[in-house]
Amino acid sequence: MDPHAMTERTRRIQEAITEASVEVTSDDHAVTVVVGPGGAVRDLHLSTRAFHYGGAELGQVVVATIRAANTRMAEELSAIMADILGAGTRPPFAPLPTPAQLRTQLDGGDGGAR
Amino acid sequence: MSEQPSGRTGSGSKREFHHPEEVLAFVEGIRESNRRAIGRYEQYVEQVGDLTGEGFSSDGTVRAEVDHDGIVAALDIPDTALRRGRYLAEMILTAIREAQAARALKLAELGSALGAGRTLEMVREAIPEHVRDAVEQHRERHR
Repeated sequence: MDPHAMTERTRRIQEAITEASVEVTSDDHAVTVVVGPGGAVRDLHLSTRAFHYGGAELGQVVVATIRAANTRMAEELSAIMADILGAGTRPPFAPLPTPAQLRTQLDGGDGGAR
Repeated sequence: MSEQPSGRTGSGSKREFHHPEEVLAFVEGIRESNRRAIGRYEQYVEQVGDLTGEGFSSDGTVRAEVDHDGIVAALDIPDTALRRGRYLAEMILTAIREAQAARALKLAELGSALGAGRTLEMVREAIPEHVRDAVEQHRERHR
């Protein structure tokens, strides 16, 4: 790939990750959260309805709202990445190989001993 | 033109070989070193798989827990904390940020043990000082 195109792509990915933000409000309008990538919770607002709950219930509503926002964040980031990298491209955050896969490569292959 | 086969040792110095057995032993040494690195990585993966974080509001009443992905998994809010009214949201955010910082620091420490260079230093620098202090104080208390 042309180095300039690669730099531009990296810049767009960094910008997308820095700016990505999702706001979700619980169905009862008690809790509003703003989340960023990687599980970051940027803001939390509790309306007067939140104080109709007991502490334990409110904790559950906040957790559920944050998790719903995180799910949407992951979907949006995935769409942004597909847009930048092109559909069908392997995502940049592919899982790391497992120790078993590495052992197979080391002992099952030629180990690079040529 | 013939040249003696040579290899680089772990310290980067050049080593020359005089017999094929020496080359084989050298390659086996590299494979053994890679096996040990995979062993350390395996231990890291096992520890990281269960890695969660715990944090508290400044007054210690609200407790947050994040899961192995750093996502909020539980929030314990005592009924008495509801009396804090508009301050409660900030108390919850403080607890969540501390839990995520605690997990990030543990993760970076494990990475350092694996030989991940400046990771721990960079993670420590990225966490605001007051959050880092709170995480370290809670750790001290639980030692």
